[in-house]
Amino acid sequence: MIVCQTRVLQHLKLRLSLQKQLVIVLIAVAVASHLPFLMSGPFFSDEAIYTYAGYAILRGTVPYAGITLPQPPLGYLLLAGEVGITNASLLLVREINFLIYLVGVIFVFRVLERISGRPITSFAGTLIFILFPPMLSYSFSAPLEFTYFVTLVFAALYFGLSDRRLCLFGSGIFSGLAIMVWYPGLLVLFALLGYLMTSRFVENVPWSKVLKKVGFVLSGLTVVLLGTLGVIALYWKAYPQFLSQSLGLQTSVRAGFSIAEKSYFITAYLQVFSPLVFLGSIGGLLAVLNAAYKRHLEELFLVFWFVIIFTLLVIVPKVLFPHYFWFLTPVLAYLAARPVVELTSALRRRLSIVKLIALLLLPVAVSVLVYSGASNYSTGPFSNSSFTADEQYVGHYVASITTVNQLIWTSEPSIAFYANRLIIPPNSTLWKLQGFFDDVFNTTFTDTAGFQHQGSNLVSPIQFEQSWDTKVRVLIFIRGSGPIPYPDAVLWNGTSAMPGVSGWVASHYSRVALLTFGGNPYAYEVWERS
Amino acid sequence: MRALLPTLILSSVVLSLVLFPLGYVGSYDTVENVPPFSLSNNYSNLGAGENHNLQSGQWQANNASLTLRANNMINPNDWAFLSVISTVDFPMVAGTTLNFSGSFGGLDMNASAVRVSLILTHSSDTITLYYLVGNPSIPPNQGNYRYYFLPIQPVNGAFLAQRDIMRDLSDLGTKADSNWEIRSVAYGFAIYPPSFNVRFPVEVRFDSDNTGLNYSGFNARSNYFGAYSLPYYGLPFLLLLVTTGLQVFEMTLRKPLSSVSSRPRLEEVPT
Repeated sequence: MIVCQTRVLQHLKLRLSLQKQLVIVLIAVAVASHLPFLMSGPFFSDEAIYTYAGYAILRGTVPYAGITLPQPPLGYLLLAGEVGITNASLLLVREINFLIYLVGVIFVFRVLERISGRPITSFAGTLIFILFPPMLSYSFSAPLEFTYFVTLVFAALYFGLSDRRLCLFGSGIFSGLAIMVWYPGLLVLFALLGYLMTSRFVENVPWSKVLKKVGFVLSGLTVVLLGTLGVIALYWKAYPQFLSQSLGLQTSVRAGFSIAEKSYFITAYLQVFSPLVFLGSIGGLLAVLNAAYKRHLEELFLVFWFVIIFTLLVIVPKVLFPHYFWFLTPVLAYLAARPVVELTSALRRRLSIVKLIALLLLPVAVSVLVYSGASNYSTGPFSNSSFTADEQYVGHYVASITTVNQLIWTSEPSIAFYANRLIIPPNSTLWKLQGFFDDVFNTTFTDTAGFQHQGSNLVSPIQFEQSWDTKVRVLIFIRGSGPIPYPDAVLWNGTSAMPGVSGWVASHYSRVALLTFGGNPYAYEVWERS
Repeated sequence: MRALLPTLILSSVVLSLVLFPLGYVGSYDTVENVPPFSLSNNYSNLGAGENHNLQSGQWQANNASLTLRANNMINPNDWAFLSVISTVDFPMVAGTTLNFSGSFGGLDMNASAVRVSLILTHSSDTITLYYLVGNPSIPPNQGNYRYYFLPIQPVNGAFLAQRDIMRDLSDLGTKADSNWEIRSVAYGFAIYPPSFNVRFPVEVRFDSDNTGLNYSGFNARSNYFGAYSLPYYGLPFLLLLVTTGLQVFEMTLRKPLSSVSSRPRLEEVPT
């Protein structure tokens, strides 16, 4: 008996040590593979809007009351901290995002390993998650919907799988933080609670124990939600704006997608992730068969988690974009790794690491061939995106003709970020837009998928004229067509029912510069107060 | 060594993260105050355009003027064209004006026209704008693109135009007013059949000083040359590679992976 206990302890020690070694290898691989792409992706669209919002908050803009934030506040506050620590250096902001991603990688591996009890499959799955080509830029350029979210969701899962009260309470805290970064955190929470409830039947856990576990999770969640809502309502005094801008925008104001449009974006996602989806489907089937024949039910949770959340993501939100599914990648990668590891085990009883790595590289290589979108607007490893560099140039030009306390207007927040200047929002109580697209006016617009929608009618051009009237030193109008649906053309020209600002601008401002760049479809027109 | 390996890996990870930002360098090749397109400065960029159904159709340009001349028509019942063209790269028409002035001789304004044309692109769409002094009919060689024409009245054998291109596009009802890019500008004339009233030789002269595309304000064009100093990544990466390689080697050699491929269960340990 003593011999038995000693062997068990030795085994567990070795296993713990092996886990740590695997984690270290995963971090090393992530650093080596992701860092070269740190600046190759363009700094515009959502990332620029979020990062600029962090910058504006750091400079004293009150969230929701002074700047429109379409998401809950936590992600923006984290970015404000990052901008402050790095003195508004994009490169360093992205590096901090990457560090948070590395923490997420650790949680991903530990969750997969804990649920499945298969360290090698978990290691292989996490490795695929790290090396799958699209992930090489998402890890630091999609802070809210990917970096923070994945880290918080998997932290919540990691603690949620424990029986200890403190861990369950911590799981609730992390779930709350995930929700306060991005609303799909709610779906993740429902999936976790669903799993805890179903364990009542699968593992024959008494109801009292299940309800206690759920109660601890919900307690932690409540602390975060009440704390955040308290800050919004009492400290920022921006509760009505918060409701309109984040909840209202997502649930009622925004034009919803038709089934055809949702199908379009689901197809786009499946196309990009097709290697993982293909292998993951086989892995999911193996997990189900394993559960049915060998009563190994652990992996079923991963299948359940992926299927439920994927379905909820398709059904619940009014709109759907491919990046909504990105945070599911760790689980999909695990399921994709499963047939690879099974095949390797079948080929050779003692696993060859070389063969394993070769097989893991196979889906990655296939992914590279299938996924051409990873290089869209990117300039390759070890380079700075030309879009980013151009916006930096425009920002520096704007900084040279303004002082730090003078306000500017641009629809591209990265310019303001690089200029170290604040953007004036339109004269609206509810919609202090700073960085937005062409869907905010009372006119039709065509989205990236080619579908036409009626705009949200949040603001009108005259509200911009009113805000520019006395305070604004410089306006930047972006001309031309490119990857971002800038609102400048609609704002400038207006429509038959909505006059544009062109006449007003021409009579109050002077055109001082037209900045153009090789390979950039946009021209940046700078107007200075006369 | 075995105990040191994880520390070494983490050290090289930290080293990579610290050194990597230092490796970025970037520079601009910037041309500031780019002069607008004008015949007086850019006449050397002109090239032959159309030359159809004319005898001795020729042109010459210098910093004072651009002159197009033809001595006769080959077939009086066919269209005749002579033009010169220059590619330009005006990314935006907002605020851009098209100016041209000059004089003509021999042309019958009821059956011919001085033509200044612009080819504009907007995403995948391409159109041609014809500014026509004289008969506003469009000859059938309008090319592959959708076209519009804008008539301009001649005054005593001379012409003078200053056009806001964006306003013209707006008046013409094009789908987008401000997202067009000007790709080329052409100067010339056209004679429509029958050409009995044309008195040869025909000559059209553009004043270089008043002919071109203008934009008010400062204009800059830049090209960014991003570069990365590889040793900042390469050296920590090598260290990372070596230490991680050793770690993997140690893991696989000392402890075959198959023995940890599943969670140990108490019931599997013999008692």
